Amino acid sequence: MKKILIVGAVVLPLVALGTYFAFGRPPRAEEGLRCGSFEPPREAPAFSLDGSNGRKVSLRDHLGKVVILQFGFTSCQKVCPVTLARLTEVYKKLGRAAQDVQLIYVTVDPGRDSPERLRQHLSAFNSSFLGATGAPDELAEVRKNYGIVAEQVVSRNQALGYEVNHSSSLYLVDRQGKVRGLVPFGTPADDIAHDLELLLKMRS
Amino acid sequence: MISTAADAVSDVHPLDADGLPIPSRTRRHRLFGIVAGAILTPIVLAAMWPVTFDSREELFEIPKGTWARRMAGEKREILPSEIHLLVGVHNVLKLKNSDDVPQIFGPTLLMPGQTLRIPFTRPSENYFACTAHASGQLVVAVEAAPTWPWNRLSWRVRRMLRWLSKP
Repeated sequence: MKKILIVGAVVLPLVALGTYFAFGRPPRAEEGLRCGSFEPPREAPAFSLDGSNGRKVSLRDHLGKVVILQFGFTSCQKVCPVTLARLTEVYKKLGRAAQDVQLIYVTVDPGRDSPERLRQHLSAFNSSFLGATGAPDELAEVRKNYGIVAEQVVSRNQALGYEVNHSSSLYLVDRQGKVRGLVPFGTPADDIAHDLELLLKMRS
Repeated sequence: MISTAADAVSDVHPLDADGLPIPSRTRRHRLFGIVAGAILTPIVLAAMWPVTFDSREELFEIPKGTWARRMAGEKREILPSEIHLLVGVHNVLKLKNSDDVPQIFGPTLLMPGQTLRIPFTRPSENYFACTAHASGQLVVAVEAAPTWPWNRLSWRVRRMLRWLSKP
């Protein structure tokens, strides 16, 4: 009788633990996102733009990866370089897991940001960063679908001519192509890395 | 004999040239004490009372029918141009679209019934591009929770001034 009790005391918790890990509910990203989270998440609006890799870029091509969507322009001096540098840091923190993360940088300045210019600019931060550009009306449609603000203003820097005031938050799109998170400008790299890890762990 | 109220007062206190009772030193002290107490008590309470909120979330909601009312010409601001939050106490900005159409709300586009919840964990000033405001910006100012009496007092004074300056 004693033996049965001892075996039961050891085996039952192990079975319970095994069951929990085998069939336990996958983590819901919203529970733990440190950045902004959407409830319920919505399907990320689709787009097809000219990529800095010379091919068409669409979200559908990156299903299965977590996509970071950034809107900016290569002449931006205050916001975009800071965010890109931070994302470079985030990629380093993620290590191998960064292979399943894709940054898509959609320009708000199609007049100056050609695919080649985007490639040169982004590869200075990380060679896997992907730029996207297109016709002004195509880009305007993408911005509208994501609620992105972009307004051309005269630059104080005469050499630049104009600048574009634009939304500085990043969108996080999960492996299933749903917009899960919004990362405000200035969010620390640790918090972004935490949220990306969480989204990467989510089961399909 | 019929006595008046003035007689009753003059029994106790001497009257001045206008016929008003001159307060005694004791009465003056008492009056001073009451006035000082009335001023100091709320100040001390405001300094000592911990800053608490019912919820960590500051909720802004687009009510159902907002779009239709806007189309009809009604102008109503839902989101202030500045939002103030406190780390650890009241640090979550929650934006909800309860209307029937997608709406640009603060930093993003929200679908009908969708909520955006942004926790702020560090003192910071966050600027979001927002077409709803004349400045084109929504500012979310996040402060450290005031823990010392002087900080609590100054936070409450600033909060009161903001409330008074609301249109």
